[in-house]
Amino acid sequence: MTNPSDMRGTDDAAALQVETDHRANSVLEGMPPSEAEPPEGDARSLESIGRGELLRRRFLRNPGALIGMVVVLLLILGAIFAPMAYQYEPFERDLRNALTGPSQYHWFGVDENGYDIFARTMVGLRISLVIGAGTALLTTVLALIVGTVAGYVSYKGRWGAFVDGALVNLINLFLVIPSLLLLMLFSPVLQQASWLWLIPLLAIFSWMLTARVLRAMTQQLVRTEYVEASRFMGVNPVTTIVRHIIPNIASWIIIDTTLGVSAAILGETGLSFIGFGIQYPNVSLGTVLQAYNIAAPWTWIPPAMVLAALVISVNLMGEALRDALDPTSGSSRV
Amino acid sequence: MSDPILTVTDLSVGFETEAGHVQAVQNLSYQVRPGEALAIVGESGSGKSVSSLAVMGLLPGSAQITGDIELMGKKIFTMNDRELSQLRGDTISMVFQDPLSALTPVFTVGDQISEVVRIHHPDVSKQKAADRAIELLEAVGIPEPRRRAQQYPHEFSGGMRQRVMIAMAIANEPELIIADEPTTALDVTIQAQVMELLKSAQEMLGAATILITHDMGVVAGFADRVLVMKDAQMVETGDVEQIFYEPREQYTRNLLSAVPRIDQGAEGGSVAGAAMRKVAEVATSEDSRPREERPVVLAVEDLHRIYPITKGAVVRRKVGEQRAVDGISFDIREGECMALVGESGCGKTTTLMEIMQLRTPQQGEIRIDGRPTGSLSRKERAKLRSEVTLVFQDPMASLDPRMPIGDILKEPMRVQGYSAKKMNERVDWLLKTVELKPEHASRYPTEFSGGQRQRVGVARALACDPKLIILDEPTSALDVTVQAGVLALLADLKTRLGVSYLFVSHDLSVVRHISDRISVMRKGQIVESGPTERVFDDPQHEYTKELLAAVPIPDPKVARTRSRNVIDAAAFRGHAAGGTAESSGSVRA
Repeated sequence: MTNPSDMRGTDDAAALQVETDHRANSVLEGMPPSEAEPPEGDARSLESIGRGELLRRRFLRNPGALIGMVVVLLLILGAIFAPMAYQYEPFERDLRNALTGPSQYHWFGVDENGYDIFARTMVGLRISLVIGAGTALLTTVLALIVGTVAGYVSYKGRWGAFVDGALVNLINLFLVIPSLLLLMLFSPVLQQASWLWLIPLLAIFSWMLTARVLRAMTQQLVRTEYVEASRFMGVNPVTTIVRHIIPNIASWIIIDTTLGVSAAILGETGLSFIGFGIQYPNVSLGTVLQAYNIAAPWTWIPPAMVLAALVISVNLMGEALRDALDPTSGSSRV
Repeated sequence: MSDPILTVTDLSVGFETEAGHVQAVQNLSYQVRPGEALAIVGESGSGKSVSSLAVMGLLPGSAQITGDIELMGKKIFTMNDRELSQLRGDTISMVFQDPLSALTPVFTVGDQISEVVRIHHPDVSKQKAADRAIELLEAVGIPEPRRRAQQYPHEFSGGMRQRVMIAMAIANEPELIIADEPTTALDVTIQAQVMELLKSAQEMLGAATILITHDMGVVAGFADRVLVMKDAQMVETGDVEQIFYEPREQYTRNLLSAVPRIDQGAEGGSVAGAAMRKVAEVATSEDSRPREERPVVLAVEDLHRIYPITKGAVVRRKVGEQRAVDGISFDIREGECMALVGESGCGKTTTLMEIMQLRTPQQGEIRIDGRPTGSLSRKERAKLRSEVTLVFQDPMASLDPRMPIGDILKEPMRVQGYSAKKMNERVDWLLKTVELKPEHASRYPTEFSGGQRQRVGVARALACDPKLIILDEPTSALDVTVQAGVLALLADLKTRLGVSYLFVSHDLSVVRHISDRISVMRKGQIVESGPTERVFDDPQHEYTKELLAAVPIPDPKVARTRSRNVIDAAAFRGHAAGGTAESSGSVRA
């Protein structure tokens, strides 16, 4: 069954993928696997291709990056198209073939309730991808707001120090909250409204460390002369943060967001596995795994493999991005 | 003539980078004889440091080296690292540029010096090595050497640390001392002392010295021979007199003529300073109205900035105060350039920050165009931001690397609410004014050289027709030839546009050519102030005289007539150890 909300979700995921890469593009043009190449021709993109070219070469030189990219792309395509083409729906029961192994009709086999595992895995992959990408983005936005504001105001007199202190204490408060318990408490309640609630719920418990790092980076940048120069020109603080600070920490943000995707997917599937995540009538990779039968390996090996492949390949891409963008490697300037 | 200590033959060093092959040194050959001081002069990126690292055998493994380096008959490139370590610190020693990072912060200075001694002379006992460290400290003129040897590097000032570095360099009486820009990080008075110390240490040891520097003034008083490098290649080599008085190559001539000099005169016959005299002509030729009739752009009256020194973590109590700016007053008239000169830590930067804040100072008053900064409304203050602008010291750090320079130039205009069309026209005009191409507006700062970036910095300061530009050491991060260009531009802008400058600098010789008036600052106070000519010809205050005397003069004959404070040879030979002098003194003896 291909319900409309799912469809929108997968589109979001695909759009998001392009968008993430596109955000990379503003810093490092020509990053694969973006289909949305920036308009060429003007001097700006000509210039940036010099730097982009270097990053592309460094990224592609890493075999892990290529493998990760291909696997992620295949999984995304599979999540979008496989449920459309496949003959079984995730909640269609085929009790006659219950607990049978992979066959030409049931590619990954059937579990004891008669559900087709391939259909469930692919539909579950959709939700997991959407939640992973959405949570990572939302986490980044939250962390970016808190981190840059705290970092920027920390040098601005007594009030600045007060606001900074308050935000840092907020971060620390969220760090000590037993997030798993609260997630288990709120998730099933909010699920009754929409499964999308899991995105903000996961995000609100995972932005803290990123925010701390961004705060430290901002503090470093605020002391640079070009930020000081913009202050002496009378540029207002929000503009300064958007125009000077965020572009200069963008590479780190991109890396962190990429790695955040896999962390969020693991968080969601874990929660779903213990029964507090995605609820009926939706499936995620976690709920597919929940219906495991240890004696019938096809009920848990295929979804686990898909999950592992997704997380590992996203991480591979993140690591390769980090290597390509690493400001400390010294030769990042042409 | 004795055999050379060091022979470099046809040395080439290249690096493979992602941007392609970079040739750092190409076909360099030179010789250094015992007791000789060779200066390798060149601008940044000319390969002067790489060539000396090659001599030490300190190049990274990725470097591709051809040619030959022979040190006292031994070929450096055939030696392995262990053999090289035998040489380093014993036969060759090095004084690095940055004394801050060249000493280990976690060991006492005495331990670090005695370590150098004991590495090469393991038979020397710990106690003797420690005594030797104290003698060496005394020899390089550090007061209370016994107590100082127990201190850590952070307790020493920059000049003191460089003295410690020299003590370490001479500890084992090396045959060759390589000094890599030893005084670049130091103030001018300290620079003079350190160079004199280095020179006398070299003379005492009879060691050969290679001085790597970009500063022709330092060379004149120090070197016997000069080797000029440019773009990885040798341009010219010769005796110091020949280079200074009859340079053969045009590049040497340019390099010399760009050196600012404090004594205007060409009497000595040195080529140095020719270009800078032209700057001075441009800077002073226009504007005949007497100073008193011109309006005051900036007036600072009795400005104070006091930082409390507090102690205690929970309950902060004030235990003292640091008077960073202690009651200074000056004014700048329209079309005038006032120089604020002083050594690091004298309160120059604090003064500018107080002016740029546009707030009420702790004590005193700052008036811009007659309006006190304390009484401004938010709107007026924003407006005033366009009239007082700042050019930073480091052009690498003051431009956002992620922004094309067109946007960088538009930023102040955007704040003042210019229309898009006007901004574009203005960017073109600004780039032309600072002698850059308007087509470059879409490029990023990293694509420009240091001098070009500083021009962008000047263009940004000019963006909204300012009345006053505050220049915070605008040329101290630049090479001399580039510095001359930027100064010429500034002088030209001053006369053409009638802007006023507050030129903050530690270098009197730079200031001489461009400023109309000079204020000398020391410990938060202005000790002397007056028209440039008067201050240079007839300095009143002791400190001004001291500063003037310390500025190196790019003329070998003049430089040699100056006094020098010599190394304490007696201490070096070990009198400090009293009765045990013979045994604990010179480790070689």
